[in-house]
Amino acid sequence: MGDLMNEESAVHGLLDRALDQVEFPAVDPVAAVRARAQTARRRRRGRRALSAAVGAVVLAGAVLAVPSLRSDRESTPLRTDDRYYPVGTLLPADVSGLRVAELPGGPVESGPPNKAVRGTTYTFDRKGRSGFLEVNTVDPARGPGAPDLSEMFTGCPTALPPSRTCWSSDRHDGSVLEVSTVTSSSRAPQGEAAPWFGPVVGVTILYRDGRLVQLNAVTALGSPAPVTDPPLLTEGELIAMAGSQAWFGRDSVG
Amino acid sequence: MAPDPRELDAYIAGRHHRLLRSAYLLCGDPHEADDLVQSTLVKVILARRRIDRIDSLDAYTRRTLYSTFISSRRRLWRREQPYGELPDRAGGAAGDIELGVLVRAALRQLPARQRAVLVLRFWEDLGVAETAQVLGIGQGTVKSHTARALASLRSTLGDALADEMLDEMGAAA
Repeated sequence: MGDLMNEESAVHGLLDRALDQVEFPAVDPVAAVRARAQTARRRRRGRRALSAAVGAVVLAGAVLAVPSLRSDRESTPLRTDDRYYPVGTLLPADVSGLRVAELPGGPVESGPPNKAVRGTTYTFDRKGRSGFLEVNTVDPARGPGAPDLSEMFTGCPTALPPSRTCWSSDRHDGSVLEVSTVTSSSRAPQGEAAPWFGPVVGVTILYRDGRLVQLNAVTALGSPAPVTDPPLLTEGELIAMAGSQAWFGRDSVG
Repeated sequence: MAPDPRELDAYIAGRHHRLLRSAYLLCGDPHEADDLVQSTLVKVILARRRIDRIDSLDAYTRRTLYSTFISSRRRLWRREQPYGELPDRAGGAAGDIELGVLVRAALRQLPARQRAVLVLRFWEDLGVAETAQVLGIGQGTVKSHTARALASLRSTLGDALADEMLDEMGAAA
């Protein structure tokens, strides 16, 4: 019993040590939190207004044209000939060699098609180089297990390390677009040793109904040295790809 | 009655540093910790009308901080990859800074929920029942997470934990 209590005190002491020498960003917490809360409130109000407007338009349209109502999901054409649909279809025309990436821990592939959360890491060739594309999608209509993402988009962090950039905006359909970049970074404890990951350009679109598309173009995964080459897909290309409704089509592999 | 905005500002100013330290123990990165605390406090402000009294703020804020942390670990773009190897084990002569690095690395090895349980139990000094309430899990789960987290710390920190125990015994004597 005494040993247990000593161990508990020892753990408290060790956690104290873990906080030694840690330098936190110097920000005025009240101002920073108030500014983010203001943005979140504006966004919330905008969504409510948009939602009401869209609701009115949909209602009017439904009254006038009930027989012709079709959802995006239903109108997405079936593409059973493309193994990696819609990735292969949405990538720029000069991309070749699309395949699921073989990573040290094994390939990261989507689970069964009825899972709400799916993710696959692909590799492809462009401009004489190989690069990676991480594709993550969430669609609550596909099946169980969708996380509640609504609380997660409270805007980009106000204090970003120099290695990161982030911006976000509301899209015309009420979804939120977030674009971020990360320079090559190490996951070693000191942050200065192999393996190195990145640079990354990441684009995420979160829809109000809980659907999400996230595309991360990554130059290197697990490189022995830091890499400075930009990812093979640009921010604009990723935004165009992520905005497609094909990700939620019945034959999408996600 | 919902707390006054000035009360909330005073609360944020007064609690921010403590929250930041807990958040750092959870996520291991000062910038991410700052973001985590800010996200938490934004949610607290937005939920202000649902909070009856200022004295229930602490419990609400703590619950929000930990649930935001756990959710962030489920976020697809923050899939955590534990380090392949820890630095050398702490020897008896490890300096404070080295020990800090070792403890941080050992914490990062723990799954998110175990880390949350460890911080709540041993940093925030909450009991099993309170910890279970904050995380929305059963008391048995808290106990098993605690046991696993401690076993993992024992295995990765070895001598450093033993030395710290000796120090505690010395201080108590």
